[in-house]
Amino acid sequence: MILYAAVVPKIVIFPVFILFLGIGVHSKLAVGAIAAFFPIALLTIAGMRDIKKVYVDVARTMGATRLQLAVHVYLPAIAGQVFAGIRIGLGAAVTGALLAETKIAKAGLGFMIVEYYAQFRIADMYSLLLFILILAAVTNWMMKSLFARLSPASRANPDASVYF
Amino acid sequence: MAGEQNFFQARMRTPLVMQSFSLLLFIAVWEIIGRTGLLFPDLFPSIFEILQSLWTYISTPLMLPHIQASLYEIGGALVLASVLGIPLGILWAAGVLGSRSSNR
Repeated sequence: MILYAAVVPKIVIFPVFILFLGIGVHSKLAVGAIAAFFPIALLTIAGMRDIKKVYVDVARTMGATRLQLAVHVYLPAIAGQVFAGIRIGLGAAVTGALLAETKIAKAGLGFMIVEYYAQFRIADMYSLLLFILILAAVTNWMMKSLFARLSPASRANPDASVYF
Repeated sequence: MAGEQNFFQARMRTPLVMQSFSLLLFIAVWEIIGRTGLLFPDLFPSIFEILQSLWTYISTPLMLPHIQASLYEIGGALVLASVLGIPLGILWAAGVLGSRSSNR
């Protein structure tokens, strides 16, 4: 039921977090976390639903315990989608955190962009945008490489299980 | 798998010159608008000015506290969301938390 809230823009809850957590980094962390939570949870659910029933049945037939079933069947089967969810969540977290920074903040890259905009230092503003772009792309690429290495399916077949 | 390649891998085989063409075109158009003052002369600073400013951020610790703050927020957000989201997602899908929407 809560998952229907996934379409709510997370920034509208920001004032609440300012009240409870102050204007420091933690209120932005909370907005980013809420933003990233939904893609991660949703893709985890999708991964669970996509598990082929045959895998579970075979493991059960061979006498797997519940723990063995979880570790050897469920976790490897959902890993690819969970990793995809975390990478989509990264985008949501960056959006949430930097957007919140542009509203009320003491530090942060989004905060500095708005500062430079207000001071009409246009070249500095553009360079900061470029910097964020590069930073985000490098982080995303690093995550992709890490997940491709971790993913169980890609150990068998290097092309599989990394979606984008 | 040998022989097979998906759309994205096929794209990666296109030469770097072709891949960077649109980027170079964008930079060229940007410079032309900036130099000629065609529209909004204040809003199109030279690309070298921008790169110079970028270099100051990379080479000096001027921007370090802000980068740290942002990375802390994003990293913390992602860890928190994963720690909450993955177990909750599993429980939701398993139907432990009630409202199991079954489409099996």
